[in-house]
Amino acid sequence: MIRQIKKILKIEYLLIKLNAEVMFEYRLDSLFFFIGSGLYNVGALLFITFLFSKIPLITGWDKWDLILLYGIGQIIGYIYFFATSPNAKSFIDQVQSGDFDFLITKPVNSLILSTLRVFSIDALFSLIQPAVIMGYAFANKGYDITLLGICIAIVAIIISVIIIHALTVITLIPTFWIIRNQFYRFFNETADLMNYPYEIFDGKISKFIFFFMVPYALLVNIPFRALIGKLDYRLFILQIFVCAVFLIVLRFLWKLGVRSYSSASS
Amino acid sequence: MKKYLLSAKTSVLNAFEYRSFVISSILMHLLGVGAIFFLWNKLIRDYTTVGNYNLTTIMTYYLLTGLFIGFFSDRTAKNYDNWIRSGGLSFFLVKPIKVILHLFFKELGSRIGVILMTTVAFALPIIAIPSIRNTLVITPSSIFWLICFSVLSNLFLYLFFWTIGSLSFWMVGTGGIRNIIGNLIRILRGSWFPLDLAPMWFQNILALLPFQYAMFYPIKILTDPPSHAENIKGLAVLGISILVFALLAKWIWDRGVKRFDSVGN
Repeated sequence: MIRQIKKILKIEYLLIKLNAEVMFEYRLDSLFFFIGSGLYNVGALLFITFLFSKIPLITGWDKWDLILLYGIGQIIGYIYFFATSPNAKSFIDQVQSGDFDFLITKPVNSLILSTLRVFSIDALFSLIQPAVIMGYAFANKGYDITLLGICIAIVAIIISVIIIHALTVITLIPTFWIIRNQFYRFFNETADLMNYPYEIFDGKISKFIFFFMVPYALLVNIPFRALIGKLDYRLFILQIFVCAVFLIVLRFLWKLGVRSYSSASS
Repeated sequence: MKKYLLSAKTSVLNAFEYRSFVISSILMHLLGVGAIFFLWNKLIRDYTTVGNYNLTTIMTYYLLTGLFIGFFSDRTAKNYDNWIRSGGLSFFLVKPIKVILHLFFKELGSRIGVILMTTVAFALPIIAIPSIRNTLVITPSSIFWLICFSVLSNLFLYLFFWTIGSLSFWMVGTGGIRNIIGNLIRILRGSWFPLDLAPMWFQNILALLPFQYAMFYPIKILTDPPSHAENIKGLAVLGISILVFALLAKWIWDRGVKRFDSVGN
């Protein structure tokens, strides 16, 4: 088991290194990506600012809370653009072109190897932007931050990244059966929702959907609340539980998909 | 002229071949609108209105943005970029046609195809949801102005993306620039939020730029019709922008083709 993990980490390290080399060849594109995503952030901050010029609070949270929440959401977002998003298209290409055959014959976990092989290093550089956004919020509102809060926030961010990766891969699995799978765009199109306080989901059905099925209520809110010392620990445990369920479901569906792919190939 | 119209017709038919992509894009847009509903639903329940918007009018706004998203497709820039970089442009240059006209009609056809599909797809939820249907002001006057703005804004956006795509004569690719422009236009056209939620100074600046007249303003025409004077002012901004970009696009194109030919030799 440990040897297997070591092997995977070594392969992932090499793949990231290779992708970094490609990025340095297209430095100008990386700069454009940085500026482009900066403009996206400007749009989001203008929206928050203009909204708060009309209303004082959103479910008890003020403008600076929303900006800090958005900043943390962007950290998770850029990690998604670093590791998950580029692999979505690459995975569909692998299955459609038949290159996936090559991966399932390797003595390494095919799920990890096929969904974590392309990395957008540009997105990692753009992490400077959420750091600036968070700094902007901290400079304008005094938060009581503790070391424990920071540690829990980091763990919660890692869990959120795993959930998002699992969710995206689940939407990729239909590629084994259908030709033009567009479901993988689901997270991209709806992810804005994770950047708002979870109190906006106050109906029974919406709570069930956004805390359990597509857990947008937990992804950014848990690290945000851990950081500012207002975390409900039951929800942190729920986040861990939801992550575990997602991984189990993913593993089951993946096996189903690969079995169907293999039998079609033979 | 007949051959150019034939080229436009072929592009309309080609656009329909990609209907599954257009339809899935529309579905994804509706999903995004559904997602933002939760935020606004809570806000309106807490404050009754935000700016001039209640829940029905704000959701109508976000739903209708989907009608105009096709206008902003950077497909034009992407096509020019591909033709220039792959050398496919030579295929058009050696033909006994006016390349600029041929490519214009080709793009015109694609735009008409996508707009037709989008309009039909959005007409369904609009007709099906009475509260949204009743919010719309459909009169001969609003339809007339809507058509004027749609035609001119499409012409402007075509010229704009043609200019961007033509930069490929000098650059390795325009993907990065298209990313910057896409995110900038998202703010300027009113995708993030209805522009009348912004302070007056911001609205005044955007009124001088052509982008809002391809999304925010046409939605206004359909929901809260502006005065004729405002409409004429908007058309004037679009007219001037078209003139500026027509000259700029032609200038860049001529220089680019000269460079393309000399590299070919």
